[in-house]
Amino acid sequence: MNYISKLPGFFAKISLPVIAAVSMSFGISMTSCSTFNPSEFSVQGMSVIYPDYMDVTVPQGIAPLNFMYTGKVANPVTEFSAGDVRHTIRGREVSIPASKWKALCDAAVGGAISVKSSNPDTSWCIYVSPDKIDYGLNYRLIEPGYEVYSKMGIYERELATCNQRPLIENTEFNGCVNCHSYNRADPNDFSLHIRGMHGATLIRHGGETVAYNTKTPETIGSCVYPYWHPSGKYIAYSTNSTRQGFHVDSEKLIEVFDSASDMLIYDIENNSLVTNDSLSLPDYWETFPAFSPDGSTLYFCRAAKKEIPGGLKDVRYNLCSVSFDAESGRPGTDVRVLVDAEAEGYSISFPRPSHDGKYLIYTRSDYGNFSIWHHEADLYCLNLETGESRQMSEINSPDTESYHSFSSNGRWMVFSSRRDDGLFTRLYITHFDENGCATKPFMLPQKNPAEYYTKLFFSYNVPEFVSAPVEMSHHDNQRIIRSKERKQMSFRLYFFGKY
Amino acid sequence: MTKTEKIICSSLSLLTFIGAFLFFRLGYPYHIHYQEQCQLFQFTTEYFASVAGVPGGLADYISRFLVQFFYYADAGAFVLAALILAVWLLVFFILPKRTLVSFAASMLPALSIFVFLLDENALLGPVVSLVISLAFSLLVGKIRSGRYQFFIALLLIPVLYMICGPVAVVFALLSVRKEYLWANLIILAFALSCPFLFYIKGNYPLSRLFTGVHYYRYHNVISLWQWLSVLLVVVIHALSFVRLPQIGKKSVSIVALTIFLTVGAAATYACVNVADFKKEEMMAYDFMARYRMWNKILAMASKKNPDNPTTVSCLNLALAKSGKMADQMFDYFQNGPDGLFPAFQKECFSPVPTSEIYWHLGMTNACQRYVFEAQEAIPDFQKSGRLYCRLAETNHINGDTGVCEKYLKALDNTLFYSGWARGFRANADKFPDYQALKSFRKTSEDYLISESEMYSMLGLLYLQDKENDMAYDYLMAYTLLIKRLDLFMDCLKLKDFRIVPKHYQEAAILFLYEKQVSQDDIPSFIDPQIIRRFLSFVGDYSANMSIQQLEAKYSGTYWLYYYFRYKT
Repeated sequence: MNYISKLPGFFAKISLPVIAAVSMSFGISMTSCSTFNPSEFSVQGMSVIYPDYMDVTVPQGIAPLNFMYTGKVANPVTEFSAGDVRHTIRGREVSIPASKWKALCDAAVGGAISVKSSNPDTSWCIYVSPDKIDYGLNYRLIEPGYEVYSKMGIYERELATCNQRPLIENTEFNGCVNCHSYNRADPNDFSLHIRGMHGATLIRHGGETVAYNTKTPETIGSCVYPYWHPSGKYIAYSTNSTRQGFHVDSEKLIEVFDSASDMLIYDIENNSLVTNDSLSLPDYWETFPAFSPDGSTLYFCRAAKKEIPGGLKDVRYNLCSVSFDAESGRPGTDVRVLVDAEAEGYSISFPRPSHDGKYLIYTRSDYGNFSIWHHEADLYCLNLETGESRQMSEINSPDTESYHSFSSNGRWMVFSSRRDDGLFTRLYITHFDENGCATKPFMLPQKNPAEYYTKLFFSYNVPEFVSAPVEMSHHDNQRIIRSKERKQMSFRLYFFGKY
Repeated sequence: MTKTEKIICSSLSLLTFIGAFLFFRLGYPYHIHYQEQCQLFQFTTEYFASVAGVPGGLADYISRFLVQFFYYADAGAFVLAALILAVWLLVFFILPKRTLVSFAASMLPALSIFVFLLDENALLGPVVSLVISLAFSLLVGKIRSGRYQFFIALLLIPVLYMICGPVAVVFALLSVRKEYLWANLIILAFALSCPFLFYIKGNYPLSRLFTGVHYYRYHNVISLWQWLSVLLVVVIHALSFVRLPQIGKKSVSIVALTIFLTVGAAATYACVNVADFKKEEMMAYDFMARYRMWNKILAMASKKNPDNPTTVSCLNLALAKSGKMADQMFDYFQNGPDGLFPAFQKECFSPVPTSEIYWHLGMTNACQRYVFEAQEAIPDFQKSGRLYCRLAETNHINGDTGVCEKYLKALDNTLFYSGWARGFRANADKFPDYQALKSFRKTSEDYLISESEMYSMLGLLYLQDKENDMAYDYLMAYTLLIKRLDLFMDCLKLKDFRIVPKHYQEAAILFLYEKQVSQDDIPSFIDPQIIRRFLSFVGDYSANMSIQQLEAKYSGTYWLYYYFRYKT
């Protein structure tokens, strides 16, 4: 029943957007790209084990994929074998000793660990890729809420073990930490944004960490969504005026949207924020920058400005690119639309090019740009040579897939997904090959994943690979953040690259 | 001490305990519930590790363990009174000379703790820390050998710092002996170096390691009362070594009596002037709204008119839930739509009673937002048993069973909410309330919640389910409170009445009067008595009758609100 049409005239003046129920376009389909896992994969939640590690592909040196049998199973016996290495575990909770797991992985590199279960009578493989993965992951842990935040921080997880350590937490200062980014997993080049009374953007480059004030009189707000230029000389940001709305419908809870946004390039050496009028058009919103691996192209998302919140459901971001001159540090004006999402009735966020420059992974949702709150959000792979996009059905789920990033060698991709329970974002890692194909992803391993993830009330935000431990001193952070000293970024606008 | 003095001391201790118990139980019970509401004590190793891993963590863990019993005000009052008494007696027992005067003087730190505990943001951790530190001082004081005393004190200082946090400095200071100068210096230096040792770990600024990681709900606030109690302990202990001139027994009694009376007067002053009874009232309304004590709310409001958005909104909720809103809401103080939906504040108290309103209205997402935000706003990053229950409910209503189960599993680990969680699992699908709320959720349209467009949202809410009488009551009340009689008259047509409620009749006649409708055209649903009374009101109002006189003559009418309250 459409109540709106039945309303007395005086209700019709409601100025809020009436958002049609979102149809979830999801389907598991088999693809031809099966580098390591030719067998069928099962949808998360239908597996007999939790997490669903059946037929996943893992890197050598990953922490043991411990799991638990779901449902009522009596005295299961699980047998792992690879080459001459065998290991048997009894019981519902399968916790593989680190040394045994290492031996199994070593024996299975380029092949698979065979896993047999007696009860239920089933078997599966764990494929072990010869492609290395980085040292660890950095991510933010925060409760998936609305405007107010409790304890949170940026944490580092070693991938070879289940060890996690805080890099920075809001017990150390008043505020929250969010957008963090590394230059191709290099822990020596990072950008980290802090909000609140100690607001600043911390940039580490050349061994020095500096707190910046990125807001200038000419820009909308602080710099967010950072992406490093491969040379390490520039960081692309967007500056956004972001607001929140709250749905009345049970399908969605929160809507986060921009009412203004522009693109900016920060030139570290000259301490200047640079943009041109083609990246800050008054009738468009530009956001989510990402440099190509060779640094000559800047990808970003752009949407035609709409009245907010009334026109929210019509906000659709296209995937665009523009040339970038790494010598002068200036973006070009030759903006191209790579994927005309608006024409097809959907919206794009978080473009991330693969490190070989052949593909670009993006998140697609029905509208807007804050895809994490969109259950229909899925990952898509754009072939930059053919211009064709395909839904990455091998890694998507019926629920949200959103933020994603590549390892330093480009062969592994981590992404966040809400497939576990529909709210709390968990991390999944997939192998990404030179043909643009991904393998069935595996959930970030834990010592006792069932218990750990049940008790964890945090969501994982913005996962980024790091090639080595981040050297971040709590004392230095506290000193820098709590001090009032901020280096002010300057601003330069180029009109069509001339001024 | 003589036998008589011992009896006096015992009697005074007992009286103080009873007095403190009665004050907290009868005068401050909702503060006790509020303390419990701001935490979620779980019997898990992870919870223990997360709490006990910081300086003062073990005392904090013990205090949280105790605070979970604040679920019952009796137990809470008992714990608070017992802690106050424990501080008093421990201070007394560590003093070298036990006299009536020293017994009286020992009350001072306990008095300071009492005042500290009147603050709703004061945590029990520093009090437990003080009790533990004093208990260790007492035990170490029993060691005869000064050398052993020194080494054991040295050993205990970092241990106590870890258990109690910086309040443990009281142990170091009480270990000071005038005959061992170097030992004293070592002890004090060791005590002061403890925060630096833990600073190396780096998770907390040095200032917090010196003032307490978790002594107060706001980490950037240092409670002077709590530290005054520590100072008083040290000063009283030091003074007890001072040789005073010999005075007669009578004089001793007078001095002791003077101290007792002074402390008693100070405690009474604190009860009256430091205790925040305004907040106690707000917490009372919230508590009663939580447990659906609608009649109690109405009785409380009848005794004293609520006058701030939180209390008025709870009253209006009680009126709506009792089916009396349309007839009686203007019998009470009203001052704008904030009395229906208090504006959202980023703090941990006021959104909670507001979330109750959204819950009963069937605006489950709005309720969930308020509950979640309130919990996130708890300044010391704790969670709340009450709010976890509600989050489990909202997620159940929304069909997010996985998330609901996550909250229930956390509640399984608690003493007082695990039964609720079990009952919820067993019966959630049968609860009529949940069925009704689920039916309110069955909307085919979606929109973004906007507090500035409450009128439209309430209208939609009612039209989506005309069984939702509360939505209609709130819709009408909203139009009346914002004085939009045109909207009110439109909404009046949405429902059929056998007898139109009193306030609706009052608003209708007012609207028609302002539209200059002739008496013949006044609809029949307006009682002739109300028409007569309104005409009388108009006459008096036109004759410039004073507000006080009008209020006396026309109290409980919408007309008074319309002309004298809430300037739009």
